[in-house]
Amino acid sequence: MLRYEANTPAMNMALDEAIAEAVSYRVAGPTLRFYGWDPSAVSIGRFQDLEEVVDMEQCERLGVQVVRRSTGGGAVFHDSGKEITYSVVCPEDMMPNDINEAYQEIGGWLVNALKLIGIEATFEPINDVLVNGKKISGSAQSRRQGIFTQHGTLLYDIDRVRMFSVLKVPPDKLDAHGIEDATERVTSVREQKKVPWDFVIAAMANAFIINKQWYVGDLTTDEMARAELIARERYANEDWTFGR
Amino acid sequence: MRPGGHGKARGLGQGVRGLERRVKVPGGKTLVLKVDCQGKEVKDLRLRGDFFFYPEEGLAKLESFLMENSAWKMEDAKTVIASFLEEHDYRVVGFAPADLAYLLRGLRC
Repeated sequence: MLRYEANTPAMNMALDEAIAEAVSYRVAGPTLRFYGWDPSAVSIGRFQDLEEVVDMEQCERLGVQVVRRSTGGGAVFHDSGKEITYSVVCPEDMMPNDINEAYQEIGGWLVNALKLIGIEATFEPINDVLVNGKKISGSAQSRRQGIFTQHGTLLYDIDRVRMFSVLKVPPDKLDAHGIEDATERVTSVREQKKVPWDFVIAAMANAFIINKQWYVGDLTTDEMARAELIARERYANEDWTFGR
Repeated sequence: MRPGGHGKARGLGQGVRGLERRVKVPGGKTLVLKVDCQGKEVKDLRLRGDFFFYPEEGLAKLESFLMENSAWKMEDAKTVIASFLEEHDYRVVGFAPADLAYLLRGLRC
């Protein structure tokens, strides 16, 4: 398990990929990582049209960066200090072969983490965790070269105006949820319970490691070097971000 | 299931027009079919949305397959798409072959 730290958007995505490579080459064990984003960023899904889901001018005004993930799924606003991102990287055979079951398993870890801080949550297929019917966590999963990677977020706090000024929500997504206002669809830990940030990270760590052998480690210099290269060549590269 | 943007045009310049069809799959994700037309000919197509495709690199191969086989003209695109996915061991979460076949059906530039 790696200690929480914040990185640039490109580096965050590159680190998940570098860790997956290290796990695949068996130079690293299964890894849990908790991280933040500095500066704030919107991450978009691998197959999304950037202009359709992100207000680029508003991002520029607010100093919010944009990064395209290697995983599918939707656009997520990672507001600095307001959400906690996790990643789980392990050999594929350690997780259910069925993709939906794997989402449910890790979704269950999130539900347990929230329970530890006194918030009742439920897993909502395909990949969400809800509190009182509102989304508090989403995730995206990848399986490549025998390695399972899932990253996801937990909203600690929300500035709704800021969030929905950078995210464009397609009307069909609202229709599908039977709501008119996207801001009504999300909630945060602090809206539910005034729990300190450190408690939430501790609860996540505890819920994620239960029934597992674990130790706290650090990224290796090789992983850092590889991540810097991946960040430069892929995630900070406009051809990757703006194309697909 | 509700089709949207049926035949909605995007300007691409140089005689190429864009068409877009989309569906929000109930209990699933949004799937968008983007088509580049030149005259009455389909020049290119892309699949976009917030779905999951494993492995991710396989989506480009599915797009090429749909183009090369003029999938919009197929009688039973759903079965053909399902066979293609199975043959390549591609897994999709968020839409089914029937959803994609639905967007392709009757496509005309």
